[in-house]
Amino acid sequence: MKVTEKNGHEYRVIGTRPIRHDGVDKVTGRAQFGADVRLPGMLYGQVVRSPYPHARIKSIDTRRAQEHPGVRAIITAADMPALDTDAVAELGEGAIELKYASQLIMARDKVVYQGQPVAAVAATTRQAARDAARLIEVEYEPLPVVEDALAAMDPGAPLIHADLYTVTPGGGKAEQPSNVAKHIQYERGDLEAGFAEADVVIEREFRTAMVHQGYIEPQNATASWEADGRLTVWTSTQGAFSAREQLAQLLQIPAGRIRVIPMEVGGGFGGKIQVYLEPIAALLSRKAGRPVKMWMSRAEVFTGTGPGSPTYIRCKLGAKRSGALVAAQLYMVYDAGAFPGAPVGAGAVTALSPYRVPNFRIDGYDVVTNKPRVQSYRAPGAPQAAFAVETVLDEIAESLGMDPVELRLKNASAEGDRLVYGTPFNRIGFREVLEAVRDHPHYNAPLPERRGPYAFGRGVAAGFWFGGSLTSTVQLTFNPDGTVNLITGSVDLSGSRASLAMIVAEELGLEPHEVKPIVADTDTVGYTDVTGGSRTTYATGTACWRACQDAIAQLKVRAAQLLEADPDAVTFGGGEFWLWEEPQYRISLKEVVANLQKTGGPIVAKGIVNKLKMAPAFGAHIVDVGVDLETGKVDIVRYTAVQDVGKAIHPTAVEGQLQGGAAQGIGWALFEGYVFDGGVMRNPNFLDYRLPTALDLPMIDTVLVEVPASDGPYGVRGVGETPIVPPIAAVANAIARATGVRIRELPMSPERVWRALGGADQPASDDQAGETG
Amino acid sequence: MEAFAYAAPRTVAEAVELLVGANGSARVLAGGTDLIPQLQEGRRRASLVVDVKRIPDLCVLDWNPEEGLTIGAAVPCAQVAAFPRVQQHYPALHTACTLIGSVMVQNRASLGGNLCNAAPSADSVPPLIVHAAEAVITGPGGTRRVPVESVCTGPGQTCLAPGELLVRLHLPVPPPHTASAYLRFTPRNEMDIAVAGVAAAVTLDPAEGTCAHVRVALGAVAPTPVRAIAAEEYLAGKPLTDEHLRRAAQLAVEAAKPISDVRGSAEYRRHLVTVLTFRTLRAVRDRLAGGPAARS
Amino acid sequence: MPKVWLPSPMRDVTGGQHTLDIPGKTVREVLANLMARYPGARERLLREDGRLQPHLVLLAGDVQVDDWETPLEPGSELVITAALGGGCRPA
Repeated sequence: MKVTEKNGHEYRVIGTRPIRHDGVDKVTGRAQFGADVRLPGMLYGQVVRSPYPHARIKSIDTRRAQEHPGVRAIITAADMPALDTDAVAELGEGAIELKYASQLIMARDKVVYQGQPVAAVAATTRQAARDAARLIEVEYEPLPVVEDALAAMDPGAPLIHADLYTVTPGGGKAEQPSNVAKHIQYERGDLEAGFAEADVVIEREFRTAMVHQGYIEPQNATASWEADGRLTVWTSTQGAFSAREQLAQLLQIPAGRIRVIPMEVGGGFGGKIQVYLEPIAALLSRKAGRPVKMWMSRAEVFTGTGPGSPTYIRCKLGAKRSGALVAAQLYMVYDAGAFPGAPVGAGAVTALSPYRVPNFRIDGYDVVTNKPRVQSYRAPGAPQAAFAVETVLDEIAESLGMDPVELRLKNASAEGDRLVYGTPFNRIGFREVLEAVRDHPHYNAPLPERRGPYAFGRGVAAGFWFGGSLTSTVQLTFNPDGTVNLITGSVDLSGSRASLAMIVAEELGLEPHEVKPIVADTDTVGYTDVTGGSRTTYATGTACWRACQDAIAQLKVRAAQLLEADPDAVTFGGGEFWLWEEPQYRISLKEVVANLQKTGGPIVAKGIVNKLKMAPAFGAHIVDVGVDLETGKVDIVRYTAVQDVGKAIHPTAVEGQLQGGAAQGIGWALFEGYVFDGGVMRNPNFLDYRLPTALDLPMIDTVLVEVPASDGPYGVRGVGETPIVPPIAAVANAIARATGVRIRELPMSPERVWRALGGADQPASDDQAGETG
Repeated sequence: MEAFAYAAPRTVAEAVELLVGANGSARVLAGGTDLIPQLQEGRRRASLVVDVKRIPDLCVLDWNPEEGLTIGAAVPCAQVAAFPRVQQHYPALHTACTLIGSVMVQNRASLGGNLCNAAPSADSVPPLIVHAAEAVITGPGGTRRVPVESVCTGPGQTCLAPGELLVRLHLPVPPPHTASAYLRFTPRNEMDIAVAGVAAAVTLDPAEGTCAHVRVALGAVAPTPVRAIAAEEYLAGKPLTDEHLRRAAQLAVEAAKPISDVRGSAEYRRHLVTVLTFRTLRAVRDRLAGGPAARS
Repeated sequence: MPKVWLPSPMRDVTGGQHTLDIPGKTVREVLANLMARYPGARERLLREDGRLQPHLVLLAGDVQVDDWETPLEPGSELVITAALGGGCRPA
C-alpha cells in the first residue's frame, strides 16, 4: 500500500521494480564474497585472543608456535607501528585516537576486553594456524573488570585507560583521569519553568543491552604485501576507501600504496566499517612474503568486533493538559566498550528533535568499560533514545487520555523547527507519516479478544535518521552497443546497484539493464565514502544524476556533429537528441554512442557529490502483540511500518529496508542481548544470542509516504536506518497496552515479561486457550 | 578441532570392535549435528570417529502389531516423523521429531544421537520415556535392553560403557484409549532449545473414564530428562478434570531440579513445568476425547 | 547580520546567550567577530593552530561548511555544533 504526495513528475524508470543487477549472481552462488578469494601460495591466518576482559600482558612466548609445522609468520603488537600520539583517526563522533585504534587491532601491554587480539599466526593450512595459535603462550595478570557503565562512572572505579580524561561539554579536559571519555550537553529555554508549567510530568529509567548487527557473513580479509611495498587487500567492507585510510594510518604507509578490493558483503549494518583482520593479514603477509587469508568464527565476531552500544537513559517529559510538550530532560549514558566513541551525540540529537520542546536539557556521557568496543549499528544511538522518549510519550498520552498518534501530531517537528543543536529542519514528512498511521486500516482495526492467558495490545512509536551526504564519485563510460558502465565506489549492501542504475537509465532514456553498475576498488574510481548513514541512494544517486548531466552535455556536442548543427541548437529528452527548431532532425543516444569513434573518440562522464543538505527520513510503526500471561512470551501478530522515503527509486528495495529494520528492531525488543559475567560473554553463538527468524515475524506491511527532500534529484531520501528506530518502543508500548505493565529494560524476553507480570504469583490457568508451549 | 581417524563399519560387530579398540576415545557419528560442532569447537574430543550410517541394523524403521515400533539408532528424525505409524501411535514422539533443530537438521539428526548426546534439553527423550521406549545396546559382552529413562546419567553422560553401541530403540504398542503429547517452551518459535519440555501419555479406562496408566516426563529441568512420578501417581485412577490437571502440574515440579543459566533461571523453569504440564495433559485429554488433534 | 547558534555549553562565555547576531560577510568574518567580542570563545572554538576544534562542525543552515570563505547573507544562520556520527565512521 502506498500514499503518494504528488510532486508533479512522471517517471519512466524511477518507481518501477526491475530485477536486481546482482540478483542472478547472488541466487546462483556465483557472487564473489571474501571467502571465495583464493591466491597462489596463500597462507591462512589465525588470531590469538585474550580470554580476560582486563589484564596486563606479562609476556608472550611464540617459540613453540614458531616451530609448529607449516607456520610461516607470527606477529604481536611489536610488529605494529607504535602510535602513541594523540592524533585522531577520523573526525566526527566515533572518532578514535590512533593509539586506541591500534590497540583495538592488537593489544599492547594490556588487554581491555575479552576477545582482544594479542598475537596472530599464519600457516600453510587453517588447521596448522589454529594449532599453532594454541601454542602461543601469553602470561596475563588479571586486573579488576569494569563491566557496567554506571559503575564505571563511579569516581572510585578501576581505570581502564590511565591517560583518559573526560572531554567536558565546553571542549575542555577534566583534571583527573576517569572512565568517562566525554560529557555532552544540549540546552534550550528554562527547564525549571518548563516543568513548573506542565500538567503532567513523567520520569522513567531505561536500559538497553549490547546487541550485535548479526550479519550472516563473518569478517574476512585476504592481504598480499608485494615485495615492492604495494599492498592489496580483498575484504568484506562497507567502504573500500575508509578501509584504505584506516590501513594507511594504522600501518603508517602511504594510501597510494594500498589497493582495497571490496568483495560482496553478507550484511554490514554499520559493523563493517572498522577494519579488524585487514591490518593483521597485511602484517602477516609482509612477514611471510605470501598472501594471507583470514576469517572469523561466529564467537570471534561476537567478542572481537563492534556491537551496538548498551545504554542507561533517564527520561523526564512534561506536557500541558492539551498534550503540548513543555519540558524535557534526558540523562544518557552510552557504553562505548573498551575505547571511547559511543554514539551518544546522535542519541541525544535524535531523542528530542522529532518534537517541538521549548525547554530542554540533555546530558550525554560516553563511557568506557571492559567490553567489546562498540561500532555503528543502523542509526547508531537512535533506537536506544527512541525507546526511552517514545515510551514516556506513550505514558503521557495514557495519563492524558489522548490517542498516542494525536499526541505526537500535536508536537511533531516540521520544516523550520530546529534540531536540538539549532539547525532548522528543511522539508520533512513527519506529520504526513503520522497522518498515514492515524488513517491506516491497521491502526483502526479492532484488536483480537483476549483468549485465555493470551492478551493482545497495540503500540505505536516514531523515530528518524538524518540522511547524510558525504562524498561520492561516479564515472560513466559507454559501450558501442549503447549500453553504459556505471562505475561507483559505493559498496552494494542492499541492492544499491539497481537503484543507481535506474537513475542513470531514467536520465539517459535507457532500460535499467542497459546500465551495468560496477562496484570498483580504490585504484579504479574516485574517492567515495562508505555505504552507511543512509547516504548511498541519496548521495551516490545524486552523483549518478550529475554524471548523466555531464554525459548529456558531452554527447550533445557529438550529436550536433552527426546532425550537422550547432551544439546550442541540440536538445535531449527521452533518449534522443534533436534540433529544437527542427524536431524532425533527431538521433538516438545509442546512435551517438555507436559513433563516438567517428566524432572524436570515447567520452567519460563524471558526477561528484561532496555536500548535500540533510534529508531526514521520519518513520512510525504500528504493532499488535499477543502476550502469553503465563509464560511471558510475546508474539508479534501484526506489524505495519510507515515511512517518509522522499521518492522510492526501487520500491521493492525500499520496502525491504523497512521490513529488515523492523525485524532487527523486534530482535532488540524481544530477543537479543549479550549476556556478560565479569566481562566475559556467556552467549557468543546464534543459539543463545537469539535473532528473530522468519517464524517469529508476521508479514511486515509497509506504507511509503513520499514527501520530497529539499536537495538531490527526485526528492529521494536515504531510507535504510530510520526503520530500526521505532520498533522497540512500539513493541514495549504494545506490551503495556496488552498487560498493563511497562517494561523498560531490554530484551523483553519471556522471563523478564513473566517477572514484570508478577512472576511466581501466576497460577496455571484452567481455560482452553493458548496452547503455545 | 584436532585430527582424528574415521571409520565406516558395515556391521554392529565391526563397530563394537572399533569402539573397544579405541578404549573410550572413539565417538559415534550418525547425523553429526551435535558431534561435528562439538569437535570443531573442542567441546568433545575423539581419536576415532565411527560413522554408523552404513550399518543396516542401525537404519531399520519398522512397526508390527505385536512388537511395536523399532527405530534404528541412525534413522534421521525426518524419516521417523514421516512414518505413518509414528504419527498414529506415538504423537508425542512425532511432535519432538518435527521440533528438533530445523528442517535441515531433522534431515540429518538421529534419535539415537539425540539420546546419546544426553543433553538435558533433548526434545525426543521425554516423549521416548512416556512411550515406554527401551534402548537396545550391544557391546563386547553382548546385547542388553535398558529403559530410555535410565540411559542418560548426567549432562552429556550415558550408561553406555566404552565399547558399547546403541543399536535401536524399541517402543511397545500403546494400549487402546491411549494418547500422548509433547510441549516445550522456547523464547523463539523454532530453531531453539527447550527452556523446559513436558511429555505425557495417558491410557484411559473407558468404563470408568479415569486414568488407567499415566506417564509424565520433563526435559531441560534436571541433569537428565526425568519422570514426574508424583504427578503420575496422583492422576492414576482419577478423571482428567481441570482441577486434577492443575494439581498434577503442581506435583510435577517436585521432579524438577533445574539450574539457572543464560536460557532461564531455575525459578522460571519450575514455573514453566507447571504451565507446560497442565497444557500437555490438556492436549492429551483433547486427543482422548477425539478432538481435532486426536490420535489412536 | 547572520545569526550564530552556539553549542549550549558555550553559554558561559556569551553571558547565557545561545544565539547571537554577529556581523560578517563570510564564515571567517563572523567567527573573527564572535571571538573578538567574547573572551574565551577562541579557546572553545579553535585549536592552537587556528583550525576548528576536532569535535565541532560548522553548518550554514543545514549544510556543512569547511571553507571559511563561504559567504553568509544577512539573516542567514551559522550553526556551531558537536560533530555527530552518521552511521558511517570507523571507530
